[in-house]
Amino acid sequence: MRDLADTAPIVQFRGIDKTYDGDVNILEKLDLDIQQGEFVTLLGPSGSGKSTLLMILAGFEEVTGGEVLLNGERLNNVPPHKRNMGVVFQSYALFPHMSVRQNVAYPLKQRGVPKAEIDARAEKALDMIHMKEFGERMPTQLSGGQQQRVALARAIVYQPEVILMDEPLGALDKKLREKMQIEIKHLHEQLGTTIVFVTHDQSEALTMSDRIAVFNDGKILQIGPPSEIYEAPNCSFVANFIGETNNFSGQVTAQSGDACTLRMANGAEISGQNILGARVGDAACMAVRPEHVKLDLEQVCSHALKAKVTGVIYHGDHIRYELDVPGARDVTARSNAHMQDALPEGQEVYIHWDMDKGRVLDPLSGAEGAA
Amino acid sequence: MSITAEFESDSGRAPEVSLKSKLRRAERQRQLKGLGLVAPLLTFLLVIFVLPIVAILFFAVSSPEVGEALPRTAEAIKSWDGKDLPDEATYRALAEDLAEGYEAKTVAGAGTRLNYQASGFRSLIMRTARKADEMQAPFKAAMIDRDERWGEIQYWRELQRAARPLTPLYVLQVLDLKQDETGAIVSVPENRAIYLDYLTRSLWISASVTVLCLLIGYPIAYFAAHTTSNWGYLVLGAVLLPFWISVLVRTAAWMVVLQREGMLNDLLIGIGLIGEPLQLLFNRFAVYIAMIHVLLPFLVMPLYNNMRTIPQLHLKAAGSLGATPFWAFWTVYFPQSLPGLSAGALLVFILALGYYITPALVGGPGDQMLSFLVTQFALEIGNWGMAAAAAGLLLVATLVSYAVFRLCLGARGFM
Repeated sequence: MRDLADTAPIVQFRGIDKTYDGDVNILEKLDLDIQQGEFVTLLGPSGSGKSTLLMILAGFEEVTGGEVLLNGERLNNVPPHKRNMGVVFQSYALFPHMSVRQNVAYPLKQRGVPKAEIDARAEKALDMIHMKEFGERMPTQLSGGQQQRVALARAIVYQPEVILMDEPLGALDKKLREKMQIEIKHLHEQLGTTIVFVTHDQSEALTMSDRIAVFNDGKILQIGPPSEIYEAPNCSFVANFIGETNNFSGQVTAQSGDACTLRMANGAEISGQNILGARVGDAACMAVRPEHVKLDLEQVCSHALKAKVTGVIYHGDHIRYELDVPGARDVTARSNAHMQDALPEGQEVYIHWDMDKGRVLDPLSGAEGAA
Repeated sequence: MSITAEFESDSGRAPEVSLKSKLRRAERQRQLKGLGLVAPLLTFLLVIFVLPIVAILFFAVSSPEVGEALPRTAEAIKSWDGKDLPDEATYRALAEDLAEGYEAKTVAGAGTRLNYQASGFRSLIMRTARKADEMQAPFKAAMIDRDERWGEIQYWRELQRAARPLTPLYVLQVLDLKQDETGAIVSVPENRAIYLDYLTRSLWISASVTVLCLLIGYPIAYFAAHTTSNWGYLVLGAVLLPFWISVLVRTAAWMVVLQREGMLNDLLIGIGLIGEPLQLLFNRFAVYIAMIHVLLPFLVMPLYNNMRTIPQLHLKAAGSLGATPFWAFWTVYFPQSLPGLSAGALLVFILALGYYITPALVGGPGDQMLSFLVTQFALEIGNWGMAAAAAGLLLVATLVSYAVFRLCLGARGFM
């Protein structure tokens, strides 16, 4: 990961408010700094405001309140064509009446670059995305992946200060999506340009980003490097949105230092890290990743929970157990054991986890993840 | 055993050939089926549409009148060299034909036909025919005695030309050309060159109406195609509503609006903008207004359909790539709207070329188009040759316009 601490932010959002009807806030008092050369992913479910923020940065949407700064200068009311940002859309938005080369040359033409230079730079951009021999094709003659590459070339060819990508891989199939993730990552390393990437696909966010900002209901819940987001979620929403999580809901019965004990609905007690400073009597929810859930035939420690294997699913590189745990719902565990060593369905087991792997967060509710 | 045989036939070239021939056979069957399906329509078109048009157009070059009314003369004069006056036999044939034709009342038609070629010929024929049965040999002297024009060689040349079954007369005339005495094609004197004006006027009015429709229709179609409000349907409905009313009624409505004591003049006087009523009817202005009103939907519909398929996102994309809003529209949106635009423009132009009712009702004498000529000749004058020639000219103008449109816009991969 890059060392970004001492560089000034290239993009700053300060107290951004956005509403269409005056009642519902799409974005609410949102602050976000993006560092020069950083790959930031805005991750969240649809309607969480992440795309809106990107469109505000691109200049297609006006803010209702707050300000956007680029290199310290106010961007509000600067029209899109004067912002010098490259935007890649989910639907590619290639111009169907122009060849691939004309599409890539388009932004250079708009900037009055001399003809010879246009040709050279367009050629180089096509080369970077391995589409050199497709220059004369029309966009409709290309596959989805090829079209997205051309859109990418068109967005980088004029060396914009920031490249904005709005779910650029959403329309591609899984294999191609994973390949393109790596290509975009390489491109980012080669160019060193700041990239703001919007997606609702958490694995995409984990693979590509320097930092991930998790959005919900117009707010950023947590922002940090992928490992931090995955391993140390700061609320139930983030824990559940990124990766798989087992939720154990209950009431705090004891608290000491940064640990606390939770009593579940059926009276069983479990312990974990007290992340949000919950106090005795508070409702809370403990999040445990499936890969941290250990299964034993014997009760090896006092806080192990009794469970029953209800399903064994073979995934090739790992096995997934579906467990019936009194007092909790939909508990799963991951095991790297071979299939021949797998526990049979109906097996009675005890589950437990290391104290620091259980994170006591806010309680799950209908409005899931409200911090 | 059978497995080996299959393997053998699968390898080598033999299966490839049979595959190709199979494909061809399948293709041929498909084409035959297709042909069978469109056969009724093709027959219908041929009988109802193509044959009558060909038959009508044939009138433009056919010239049966003289040959039918004066058969002996037509036969006798066929081989005349046109240098000296015809021989006695030809005079005799004409005298006999005229005498018979006068009796059978068929000479008048031939006289009218001859009069198209040389004015005064009709009276010459009628005058001679009245006394033809009294004529005695030598017929040459007798006829010249009756009217000395029979001694002038040019009348015989015109007669010889008119007696042929086919004639270029009408086609030349509608192009403001004629054959002189020697048969060479020359322009008619300027004061008699009136027909080409109808053609250029038709082209000019059609082009103007097309351009005006484009200027008015493009923004309407754009708004209707891209607005998110219900106003789009309302606007579209307003454009399409006139479709439900006949052209005649719509045009008559414009007469009510535009006449001297009409609504528009009343309104303008009422708000004090003018003191005297304006002449709004029976001029080019009225023709344009009424034609645009009738033809606008033909432009808006294809354009609207086309525009709905153009993503607005393209304009945003162009903007993010550095294009100003106008430039984004011009380089990204407009080219994508060309297929609809050219289809609509072609439709409007070609429909406008053949317009008759609207200019006839709200236009002045100087605003009439080619169809007016056709109607005049066919229904008022009864000269079917000229009517057919004018119709032919209209057809050719239409086909040429279509070809030009295709050349200009089709070459870019549209249409």
